[in-house]
Parts: sequence; C-alpha cells; structure tokens
Amino acid sequence: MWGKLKARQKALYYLGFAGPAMLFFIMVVLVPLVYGVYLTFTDWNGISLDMNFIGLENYRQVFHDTVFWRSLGLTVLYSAVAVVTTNLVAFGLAYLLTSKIKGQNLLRAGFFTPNLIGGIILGYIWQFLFSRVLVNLYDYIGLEIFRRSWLSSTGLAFAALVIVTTWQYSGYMMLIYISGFVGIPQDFIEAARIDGATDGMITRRIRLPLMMPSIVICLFLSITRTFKVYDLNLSLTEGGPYGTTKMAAMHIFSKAFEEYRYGIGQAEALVFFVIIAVIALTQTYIGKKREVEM
Amino acid sequence: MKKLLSVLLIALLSSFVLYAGGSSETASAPVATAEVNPAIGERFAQTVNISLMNSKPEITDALEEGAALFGSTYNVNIEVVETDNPGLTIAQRYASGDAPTIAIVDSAQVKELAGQRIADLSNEPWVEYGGDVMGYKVDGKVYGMPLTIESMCILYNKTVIEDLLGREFVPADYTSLDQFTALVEELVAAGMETPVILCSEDWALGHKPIQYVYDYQDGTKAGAIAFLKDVHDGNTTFEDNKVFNDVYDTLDLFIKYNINRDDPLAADYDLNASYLAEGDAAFWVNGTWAWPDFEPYAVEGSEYGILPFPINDNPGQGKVVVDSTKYIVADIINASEEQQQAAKMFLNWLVLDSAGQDVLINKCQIVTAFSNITLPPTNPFNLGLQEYINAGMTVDGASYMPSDHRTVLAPVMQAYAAGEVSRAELATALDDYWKANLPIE
Repeated sequence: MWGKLKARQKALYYLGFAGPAMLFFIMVVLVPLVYGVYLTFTDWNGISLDMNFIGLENYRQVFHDTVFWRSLGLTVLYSAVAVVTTNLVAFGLAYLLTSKIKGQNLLRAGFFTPNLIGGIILGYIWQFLFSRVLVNLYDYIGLEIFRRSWLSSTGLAFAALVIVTTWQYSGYMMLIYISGFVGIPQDFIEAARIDGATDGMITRRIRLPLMMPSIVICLFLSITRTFKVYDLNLSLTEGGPYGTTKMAAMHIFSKAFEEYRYGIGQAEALVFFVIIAVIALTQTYIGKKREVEM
Repeated sequence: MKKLLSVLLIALLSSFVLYAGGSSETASAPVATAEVNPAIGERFAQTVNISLMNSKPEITDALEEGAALFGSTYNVNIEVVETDNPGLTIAQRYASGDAPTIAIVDSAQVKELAGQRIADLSNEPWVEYGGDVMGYKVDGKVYGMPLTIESMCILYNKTVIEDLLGREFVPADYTSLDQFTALVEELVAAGMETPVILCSEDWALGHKPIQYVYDYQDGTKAGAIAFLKDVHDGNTTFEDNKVFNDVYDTLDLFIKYNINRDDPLAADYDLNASYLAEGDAAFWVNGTWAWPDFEPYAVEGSEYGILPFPINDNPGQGKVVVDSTKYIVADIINASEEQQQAAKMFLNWLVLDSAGQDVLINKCQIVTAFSNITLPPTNPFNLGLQEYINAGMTVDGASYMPSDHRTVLAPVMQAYAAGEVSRAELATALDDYWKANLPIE
C-alpha cells in the first residue's frame, strides 16, 4: 500500500506520526544548541540587553581557565573510577541475583531503589551519614578513618562521591546486566558443562561475549552520567572542601550563573559536550565491534 | 495490572482535586483591608495584576501577606514568586518576555538592569528618607530601593557569658583584639573550652572574612577601593597591609578557639545556631541575617546580641560593618503604565503607610534603611544593629567585588581556616586576584 501513495500523502503520513516529536526535538534540543553555539561568540552576561559579537575570545579564555581544565581532569578521574566500581558491583550483583538465591526478587528491588531517589536528596542523605553518623560512630568503635568527616578532607571527599555514585547507579546497571544474564541461552551453558568447562571458563568464554550488548549499554550510560554529574556534587560536597571536588558541570554552572559570564560558561559547556560525545561514541564503537552474533 | 493502574490514576486525580481545593481556599481567605492612603495613591477602578519576584526566601510568607493587604486596599493583585537565584531567574524572565513587575534582587542585577530595563526611582517620595544614601545608584540615579540593612558581625550569647564571668557583660569593653582575647581566655578558664563558633560554608567561612580586610581599611567604601587599586597597580601588597594582618590576627584567634576546630569544614549551620543559642559557645562569627535560622533554637530567657569584629588600633574599632543587601527594582519593559504605577505605589506603601511599615518591620523582620520608619526592629540581632546605626558606629560593607570574587577566593580562605594554606599564600592569592581585577565602582 505504501508504494501506491503519492509523495504528498507520504509526507503527510510522516508529518502526522513524526511531526509532533520532531517539533519538540527541534524546539528543545536543536534551537537551544544552535543558539548556545551562537552565544559562545558573544560577551553576553545573562541579563544585559547588550550582546556584542567578540569572535573567538571566549574560546581563548576557556583555554586560559586553568580551573576549568583542572575540574575537567578531576571529572575524568572521577568518571573512570566510578564507572569501574559501578559496573563491577552491578555485574557482581546481577551474577548473584540470577543464580537462584533465596529472596532474589526482593533483593533486586532493594538494590534498584537508590536509583529512584533523586541525586539531590541522595546527596543530603549521604552528607548526613558522612558528616554526622560516621563521626559519631567513631566514639563507639574508634576507627581512625571515621574521626573526621570524610567530606572535609580532599581525598576522602572524592572517595565519598565515588561511593555514593556507585551506590546510586549500580542497581540500575544491575537490571541491565540481569536481562543480559537471563538472555543467554541455557543450552550453550549446558553444552559447555558437558564438555567439562568450569564456571569461570563459562563466564569468560560464553557469558561475557554474549553479554557485550549489555556491557556496552551500561558503560555508555555510566560514562555519560558520571561525566555530567552535578546534583550529587552540589548536595554532597558542594565542591568542597575548599573547591577541590568541583566537577566540570559545576564549574560551568558557576561561570555562567554565579559569575555572570554566559559566553565563557557556554563555550566551556560546548567543549565539555564535544569531549563527552567523543568519549561516549568511541566507547560504543569499540564495544559494538566486540559484540557477538548469536 | 489494569486495576492497579486505575487505582493509581484515581489517587493522582484526587490529589489534584485536593490541591486545587486547598489553593482556592487560601485565595478566598478573608484579608484585612486597610484604608486607602491618599499619599500613596487612589484605589484602581479595575484590578491590576502584577508580579513580585522575591530572592529573600525567609520573608516570602510575610511579603505574601503584605501583598494581599496592599492588593485588597488598592485593588491590585500581586503574585509573589520566590527564587534563591535572582540573577538566573530574572535573566530567564526577561528572556521570555515575562519580567516580574517588581523584583527583589542583589546589587549585581541592579547594575546590569539599570538604564535599560528598570525604572529610575530617583523621584520617588522615599528617596529623601534614606533611599538616596542606601539605595543602589547608577550614574547618579536611584534604580534599586534598599530593602534591608544587614551587618556581618559577631553574634553573642549574653546570658552564658555573664554566667561564666559572674559579672555584667559590656560589649563596648571588648572591641580591641587584646581585650577580646583576654575575654576569650577568661571564658576558657571558666570552663568553656571553645567559646567561638565558625561556619564552614564558602560564603561564611570563605567570603566574609576576606571582606573584613576591605571593610576596616579606613571604614569607608572609598578607602577600601583606593587600597584595592593600590594593590592592582602594584603599589602595595596584602602582606604589607596592616589591616590585613590585624584582621587575620583576629581570625587566627577565632580559628584557635573554634568549637568546630577538630573538623572546621564539617561544621553544620543548624548545629552552630544551637551551640550559640544553648550556650555551648559564646560567639558566632556570622551576621544579623542569621536570626530566622537561629530563632527555632533560641532559649527562653537567654539574651543575645551583636558585637563588632574585634580589631586592634583601627579607626573602625568598635564599629559594625553595615550594608544594604537586597534591592527592589521595578520593570519598565514588560509592565504597562498602570502596572508600573501599581508597582511604585506598593514600594511607597511599604515605606510611607503604617500598614506597609508593619509588614516591613514586624512581618519581614528587617532593619530598614528609611529614617521615617520609627517602629523598632523585632529581634535581638536587629535591635543591636539599629543601636549601632543610630549611634553612627558603622563602617561601610564591601559591595565592589567582581562577580567571580567568591568563587576564586572563598576556597582559599576555607583552606586557610583548615590549616592547609599559610597566611603568606593567602595574601599572594589576594594580590594575584586584585592585580587581575579592579573594584567595581
């Protein structure tokens, strides 16, 4: 039937189905993106009526903003550590919760719950834990590591961010891994067992290759999410102690909205966007190449 | 599954109905109507709708009450919108062509909006009562009406100090660092191990302490700007500056006797309030704005007050830092003639009408910049501040820092308080900043 329709009718059909979604996509993604790129060439401060075209000056400033590059470096480090811990924990949990242990449904729901709490609230909960509960715990068990709040020391505040991120995302990634585990045909595993393969060999040679799609998705999600972290950063450490855990997104926010330097903030956001896009796409490309067809 | 869905939908729906019911109830609640004051203006024949953006969240309820009273008197419907980020919100509202008719903002926004988007208020009747001095002016014209006067200072618990000392506590006796040090040591000897409370927040521990260095240069805005320009031109440095070293001698004393000294950057604002209120410590380095957060912990029968920053042989010794911290501006881009008039009437009403003054002083609980208002402030911190103002014992607060001053320097000061940065390093960071920046006049 499709072939018989005239071009105009086809266009109408297309508009009818995809039009509304396209319209909103253009309005809330494309237009702001283009306008945002335009803003990077101006000296706009966010309020003023004056908006002068200043060419590439903002980008020159971005490359001189050492604090931005430091926060970007910190974000890369944070993302690298958190992605590894999140995925290891998630994979381990998924492995356990598909091995038919008791109460696995309850446990799955339990591990997933942190993901339902917003980053801001989650940050405040953990801030209370780190700054109050653990410090009080020191009075009872006397572990030196709990003597002072983790959030007031540079390295431990970073560790706290990683721990909370892992706790927040591993439940979600676990679900994806579970679906990966469940999707592996049992006959492959049984056949391998009959051939005398150990559990470790089965995981390495059969489960992992067949779960490549899940791994690619989980890595993609966790990389992009941890790179863009803002809410948790704000509510847990607020960039502290003394600005040492200020991630790139937070730095960009304060550039644009606290220092009223929209142009530079926007230019930094664009640089940041390009970096995330390159990393995420490269990772997906490499991962896809390793996927195995069943 | 379907059943569950329908139950959920019904729950959702009923919550909307409840919500709608709730809000219409508050809207139709009877409001006391004050009398039309001819000095303010005539009652509008048709209801005028205007909006008010408030960036001082602790007074939103009071403003809503005031707006309703003014509205019912003059037939104006004022919608109060709250924000904690005035710069961001006002930029968004202007960008969408829906600017608030009246906005309570910080000085940075007045500066940006003046001359293009907000009304020149120089000819308003309240200007002569202090609006001229404390208002925000650009090119000699008043664009921002001063909403409140605040002071960064030392809050104290008089009751606990007197209990420990066994004699009357007279704040005027402890204005120099030497006197204050003796007092602190006396309190320590009497059993209060750590009499001082320092905050941990970047604005409180990082940004404000640095401002004391500017404020006490010679007590005037001009003097502070002259000093910063000297640093900018390389004529002097912070390390060579006497006031810088005096202020940091005092701060060192605070840091030494800080109740949070084991872990200064983990201090909690509410806990700090309770320490002072309940007498665990005697002094809180903060400001008069702390009252709304402090009040829930205040102990019945305990007396509280404010002290100037202790400093040795300085012309500002014994004087408190005073600054007008929020300004009210009126839009001229999106507002119609009538709306602009209603907005100006509301501002006049707050200052000139007794019902408006009641809202400002008793409901919003602020210290006003206007000399015609004779109502006394309502809380101990503000009462203390009013006394210093009346006695002329004030120095100018710092309002000339570029917008990135806090984000760049506050972390360095926090690190200093945590013992991670030396005084010389801090002085260098300040030099570097001011060599690259000029104060905004």
